[in-house]
Amino acid sequence: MTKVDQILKTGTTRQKIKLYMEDVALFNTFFIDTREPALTPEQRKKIEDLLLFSTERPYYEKLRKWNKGMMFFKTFLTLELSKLYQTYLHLDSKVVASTKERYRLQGINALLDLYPDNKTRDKALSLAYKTSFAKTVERYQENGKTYLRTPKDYGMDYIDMRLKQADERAWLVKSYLSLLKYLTDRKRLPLKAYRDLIKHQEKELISLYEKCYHCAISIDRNSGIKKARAIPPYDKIEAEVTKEDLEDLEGILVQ
Amino acid sequence: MIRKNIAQILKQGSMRQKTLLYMNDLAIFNTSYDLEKQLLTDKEKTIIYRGLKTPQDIKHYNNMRTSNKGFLFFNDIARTTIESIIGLKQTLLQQVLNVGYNRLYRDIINDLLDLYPEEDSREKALGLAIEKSEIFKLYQEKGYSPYVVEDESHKDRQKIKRDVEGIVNSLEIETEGLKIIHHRLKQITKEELPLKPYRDEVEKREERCRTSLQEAITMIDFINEELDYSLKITPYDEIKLPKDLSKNSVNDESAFLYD
Repeated sequence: MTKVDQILKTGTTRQKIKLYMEDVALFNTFFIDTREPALTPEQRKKIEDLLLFSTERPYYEKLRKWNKGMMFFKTFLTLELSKLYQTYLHLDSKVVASTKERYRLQGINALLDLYPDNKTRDKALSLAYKTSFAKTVERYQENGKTYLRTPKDYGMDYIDMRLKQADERAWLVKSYLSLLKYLTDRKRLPLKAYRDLIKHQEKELISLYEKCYHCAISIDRNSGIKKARAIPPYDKIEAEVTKEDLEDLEGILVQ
Repeated sequence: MIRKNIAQILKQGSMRQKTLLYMNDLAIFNTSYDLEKQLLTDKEKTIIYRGLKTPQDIKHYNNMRTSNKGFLFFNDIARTTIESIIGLKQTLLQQVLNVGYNRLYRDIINDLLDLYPEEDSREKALGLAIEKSEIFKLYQEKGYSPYVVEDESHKDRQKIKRDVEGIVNSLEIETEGLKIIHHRLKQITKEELPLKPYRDEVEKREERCRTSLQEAITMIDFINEELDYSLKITPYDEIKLPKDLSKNSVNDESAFLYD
C-alpha cells in the first residue's frame, strides 16, 4: 500500500486535504520536473466530496488562500528570473565579442612584426586600425614599436550598467523567494512541490548572478585588466521580508 | 472608463453590465498590478457582488470567473514564454557576433597579407595567421596568391552550426506554443470574457513576439549568407495553428489570486 493509499484509507481529513493540495502544487510546478500527479481524478473527487460538509473546511480555505498567494508571486519570480537570464546573455555576448577581439588583435600584432620595413608596417597598422570596429582599439608602444590593443576602459560603462541591473534583478528575485519561503513555511503552506520549486529557483538565481560577475571578470581580462573584480556574496544581498511586505500580502489575499 | 459612466452603470445598469464592470476592474488589476488604476472602490465591488441574486446572474458571474481562471492560467505561461523567446533571440545575437568577428578578422588578415612586398614574408605571415587563428585554412586559386578562408570542418564552425540550429529549433517550438496560447486567449476574450485590458495585453505581447522574430530572421539571414546555411524562422503571422486545437482543462487551484 502506498503512502497515498494509506492516507486515503485511514488518514485524518487534514491529511487528506494536505494530500489534495500537494497534488495541486505538483500540477502548478510541473515545468520543473515531469512528475506524476499525487492523485487520480477519482481520488481527487473523493476528497472534494469530503470537503463539502467537513468541519475542516476552514483549514482547506486557509491553504487555498496561501496557495493563491503562492500562484500570484510565483509568476513574478519566474518573470524576473527570465529577465536576469537576459542580463546574463547580454554580458555573455560581450565576453564572446571581447575574446574574439583579443585573439584578433594578437594575430594582427604578430603579423605586424613580419613586415620587413617600417613604412609598410605603418601602412598595415593604419589599415588594421581603420578596419577595426570604431573605438574598439587603440595604438600602444612596446619595445619601440606600435601595436594595437583594446582600451582598458572600453565598454566599462556598459558592463557596470549591466552589473547594476544584475544586482537589482537578483535582489528582486531574492525578495520574491523570501516571500515564497514565508508562504510555504510550516504554519502556512508546507507543500514539498513548492519548496522544491523555491530551491530550484534559488539555485538558478545564484548561478545566474555569479555568471554575470564571471562574465564581467572575463571581459576585464580581455581588456588587459589583471585584477579580478570581487563577486559580492549572494548571502549578503539583503532581501528580507519586511513587516510592510507581509501587510501588503495580507491585504492582497483578502481581496 | 469615465467615472460618470461607472456611476451610471452602478445606478441604472443591468446586473450583466455591473458584472462586466466588476470583471473589467479585476482585469485592470491583473494586467497592471496597480491599485491606483482600479475603477471601483472596495465598497462598490461589495455592492455588485451582493447584488448577484438571480440564478442567471450567479451563473453568468461564475462563468466569467471560470473563464478568468483559464485566461490567467494561460496568460502566465505566455508571459514566461515571451521572455524565453527574447532570451533565445539574444543567444542568436551571440552567434551573429561570433560569425561577424570571424569574417572581420579574415578580411583584415587578407588585407594585411596583400601589403607584404615579398613572397617570402607573405608566406611566412600566412603560415603564422593560420597557426595563430586555427579557424582559418589556406585558399588559393590558380594564378593568384593564397589567402585565408574559414575552415568549415573546424570544431568552432561545427559548434556554431549546432548552436544556431538548436536556437532556431527552440525558437520555432516556443513561438508556435505562444501562438497557440494566444489563439486560446483570444478565444476567451472574444466570447467568454470580453475585457479590453486582457485583449490589450495579448495584442502587445503578440507585437513583441513579431518584432523579436523579425530581428531573429534578420540575424538568420546574415548567418545563412555568411556560412552558406539555409536555416529558416517562420514569421509570427505565418505560423500555422494545429487543426485540432482542443480546449485544455484548467486545474481548479491553478488560478490567479483574483479568480
